[in-house]
Amino acid sequence: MATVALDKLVKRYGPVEAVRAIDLDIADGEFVALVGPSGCGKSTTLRMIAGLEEISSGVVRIGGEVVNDLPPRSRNISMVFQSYALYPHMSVRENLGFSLKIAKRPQSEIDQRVVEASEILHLNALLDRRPSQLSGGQRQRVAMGRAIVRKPEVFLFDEPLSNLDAKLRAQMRTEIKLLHARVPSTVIYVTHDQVEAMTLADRIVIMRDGVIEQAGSPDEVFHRPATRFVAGFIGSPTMNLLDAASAALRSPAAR
Amino acid sequence: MTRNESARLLRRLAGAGHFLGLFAAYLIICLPGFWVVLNSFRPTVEIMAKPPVWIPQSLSFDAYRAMFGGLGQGGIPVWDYFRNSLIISVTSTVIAIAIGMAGGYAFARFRFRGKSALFLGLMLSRTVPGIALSLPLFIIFARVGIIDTHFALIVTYVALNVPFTIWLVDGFFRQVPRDLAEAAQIDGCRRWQAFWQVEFPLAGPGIASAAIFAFMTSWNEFALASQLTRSVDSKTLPVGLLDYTSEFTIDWRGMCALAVVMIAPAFVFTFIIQKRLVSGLTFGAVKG
Repeated sequence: MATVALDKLVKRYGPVEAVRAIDLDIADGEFVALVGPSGCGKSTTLRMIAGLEEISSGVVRIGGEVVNDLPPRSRNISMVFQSYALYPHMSVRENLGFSLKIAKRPQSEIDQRVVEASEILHLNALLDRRPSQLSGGQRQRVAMGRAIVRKPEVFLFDEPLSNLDAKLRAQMRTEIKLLHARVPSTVIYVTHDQVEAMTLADRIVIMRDGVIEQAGSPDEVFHRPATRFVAGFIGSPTMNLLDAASAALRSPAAR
Repeated sequence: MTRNESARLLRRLAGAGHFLGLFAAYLIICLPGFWVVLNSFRPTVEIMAKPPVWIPQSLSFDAYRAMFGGLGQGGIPVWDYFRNSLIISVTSTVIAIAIGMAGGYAFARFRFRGKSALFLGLMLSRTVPGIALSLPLFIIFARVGIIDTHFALIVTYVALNVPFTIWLVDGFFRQVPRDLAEAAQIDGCRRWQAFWQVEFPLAGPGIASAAIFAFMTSWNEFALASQLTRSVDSKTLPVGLLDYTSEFTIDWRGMCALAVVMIAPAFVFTFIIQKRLVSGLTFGAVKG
């Protein structure tokens, strides 16, 4: 487990600022969801934390250490991709054990940790299959298994459930929550689905156009939205917004 | 007749038509090859006969015996030509694939200034007919003094093959999702490792087919080789075919026999690599 801190983080693509100087402190073991409409910079932020995207300016700290120029492999993180990104030429077992093989761990340790992970995620029966022989939900589970086998300090999820059907999505949501309870770790979870964010996260960070609109607990962002955008974004159906003149600020209804 | 029965009949007829059509197409494709093999066993009289003799009257291995029989008995230095062809084709293929892989990967994965112009330039270089460059090449190579060497042909074939190889390999790397290399890097790979562990195995079949193309081009190329080679030091098999032409006659039978000798290794090579091509690599990396 580790803390993650973003300090004035900026991503520029030429003249366009995709992420505009965001600050965020994530506590040890916290489950944080980044939500926002597409193109709001949430995935870019995640990729900068992962080390897959260069940081234009600002600082990313993991466990107090500045990791700006460290490659992904040195950041002690795992990531679950939206597309799952399973290695198609390897069996499920090899997929799970790949990171340990690269780290040159002894085979006995690899086997043991693969079995551990596959038990947590109910993958035992699938270990010798190829990714192409799995259903969407099973692939998703393998992707999560690959992430937990490494025992990282921080889990990064990039819209992991958006390719599943509604029923499976609800089921996997529960599993992710259970997983977080079983494997204590810091989680940063990017999604555009506010239901996922509201049900999973300890804290929700709502982004728009590369800035953070509000960061707070699900209750907080739901009941006390900081901006009109948040008010309109969170909740289903969304909050009604009416033009009104503040003629009587003292009346209890306006407070 | 019920509707079911007539539908079944129609499907069978369509199937038979399909088969006949394919058979005819294959016949047209295979006939010249078959004719070459057949003619290598027939005496020239029979080959040149008018009207043509369709059913062979006498078959013999004379042409092959003569070809390997050494000088003076109608033999030609087949082994020298074969060695030259092999050295030149294999070396130029290996170099072209190495360059093509690096280049193709760069075009598929990186953004850099002048990328599309560079790519277009590579493609445009293919619009120049190779033979148009034979004279300048000859003059330059003659000045440098590398006429009639393996090196000259290897350089030429690498230049000939690289643009096409880059184009092919680029396409195959594009089909490997970017996420996979990123996932590998998160899993602890350096970029270099991510390439060899994940991207290369997945693009492998494509690279193999690019290798087949490059090898075939070098193995079969005649026009430039006939200009740039002089003696058994560097003559390749296609140029060796010319040994069967003399001032007034052409030994068609011998030529066909040499052609068969030429086709055989290429056939085997393609077959070996083809097996790797369809090695049951089933995709399923990303959703679906």
